[in-house]
Amino acid sequence: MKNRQFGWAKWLIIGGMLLLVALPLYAQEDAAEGSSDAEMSEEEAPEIPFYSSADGFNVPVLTTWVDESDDKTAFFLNPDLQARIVTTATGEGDDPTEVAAEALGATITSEPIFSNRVNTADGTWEQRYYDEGNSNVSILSKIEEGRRYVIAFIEDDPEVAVYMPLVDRTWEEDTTLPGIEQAIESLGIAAIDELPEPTIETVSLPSGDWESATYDIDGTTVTGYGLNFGVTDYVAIAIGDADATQMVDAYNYTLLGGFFITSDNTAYLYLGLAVTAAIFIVLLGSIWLRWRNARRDLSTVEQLASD
Amino acid sequence: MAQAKPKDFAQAPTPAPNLLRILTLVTVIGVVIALVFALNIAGTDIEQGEVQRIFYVHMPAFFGAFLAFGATVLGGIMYLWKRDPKWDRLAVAGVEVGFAFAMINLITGSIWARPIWNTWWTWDPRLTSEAIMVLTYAAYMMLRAGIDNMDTRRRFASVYGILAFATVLLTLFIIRFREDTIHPTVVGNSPQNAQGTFAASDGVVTALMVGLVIWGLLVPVTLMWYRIRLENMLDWVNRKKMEVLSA
Repeated sequence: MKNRQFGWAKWLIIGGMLLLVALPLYAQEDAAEGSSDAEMSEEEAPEIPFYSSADGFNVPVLTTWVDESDDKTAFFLNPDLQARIVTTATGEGDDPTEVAAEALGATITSEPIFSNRVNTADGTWEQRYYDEGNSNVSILSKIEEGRRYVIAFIEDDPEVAVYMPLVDRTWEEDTTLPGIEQAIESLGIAAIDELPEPTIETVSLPSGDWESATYDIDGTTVTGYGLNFGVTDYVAIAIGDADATQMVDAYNYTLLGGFFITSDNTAYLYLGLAVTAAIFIVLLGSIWLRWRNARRDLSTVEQLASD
Repeated sequence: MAQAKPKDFAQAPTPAPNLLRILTLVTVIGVVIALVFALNIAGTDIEQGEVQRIFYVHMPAFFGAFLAFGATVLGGIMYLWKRDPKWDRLAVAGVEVGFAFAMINLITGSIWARPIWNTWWTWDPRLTSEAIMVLTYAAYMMLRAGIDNMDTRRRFASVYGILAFATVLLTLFIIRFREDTIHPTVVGNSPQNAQGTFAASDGVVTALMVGLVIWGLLVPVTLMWYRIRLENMLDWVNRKKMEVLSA
């Protein structure tokens, strides 16, 4: 006998089900319409191309610099500025200076002119600064999940020396000037109480609106740039007359524009898939067991009926 | 006078029709394809990492539950109208399959939340409404099993199955009137407080669409068909038992 369990109604079911499927999409879209702030911010947010390392970290691509990155190390250089920026990962016990020197293709033989640890919203970083004559090197490193991540900047321009220190914000005034002056003193350029009155300006760069303070220290121009982000002031110190804003922007774009580490959470993915499989196995097993038991019952009943 | 055919009678069990066999094969292949898209073709989310791929099962699973619970509403309405047990079979199949999908949705969401929100569970409006939904349908199955009279059971289950759908709609629409939710919206923009959102690149959209068709449509329909056949078989066995007892 032809199975007419559903008959005409099956088409009603199919049509109804298809209409039902559209409802969740409708609800989601409406929710999106209801959040105008989110919609606006998504429209206005610029799309940032990211370099993603096989070692799990990510940094924004410096689109105006030459990209010589490989699968593990982000490497951007600017021949005009004679500057290079590298981000890499290494073993927890490796020395960040050696790692940075190798990645930058530089030789660092001197002792750091300044080093310390700084607490940012992104964790604790160790920072080291080197003066190698014509080259000046800034190195940041931090340990996370058993790996050491290193971000380093070097410029080889003999006309200028640029360092990019981070300063813990310990003052309440809405200015980055104390951070700039702390950095100048830490780098051994001049003591804070010996600094002349600076010329203060605001410099708008893609990485943010920076406060700049220019000092004339014994006939040498020293320009400090400061940008506050949470508990940290991002500072750049340029010694010399050359314009360092492009370098300041590029390095801090790497830091502020989105250095982050992709967590290795593959185990949670496998757990989710295992749970999904287990639930389907339980459902299918239950249907199969009940079907088998029903067939056995039916055989017994038919046996009884024939007796 | 000829006696009217009692509506309780089930169809004699038959071998699985060819259409069901084909559907089963297509579903199995579809599941493999959906997994390939989710695990290989869609790119890795650089913020959330590999765990983001759970979304390709998590979200479609809600669609699967929605479809199955919707079938329960349809079955309930039609049973109350026609009093034909075949509609009750559709309803109970919808609840059982929908419950499995809702559990997958709930548990995979919790697993995703652990590395992204740093907690297995939070009393967020949407998570809470989803939990209420799951408990409501769990209660359906327990209460249904506790009623011996077949007609009473079916009437009760029909009404309950229709009313229970309110929890599904609540879960679906709660992000509209509770903007304090941190649950991200995958289709469209997320509420401003949402945590763990992700941009939908082409690979993400393709994997989601494939997932929606497979997990949200093919798998629940195939499972419901098998579950309907089981319920029909159980009714058939009951009928035969009654015949033997009354002989």
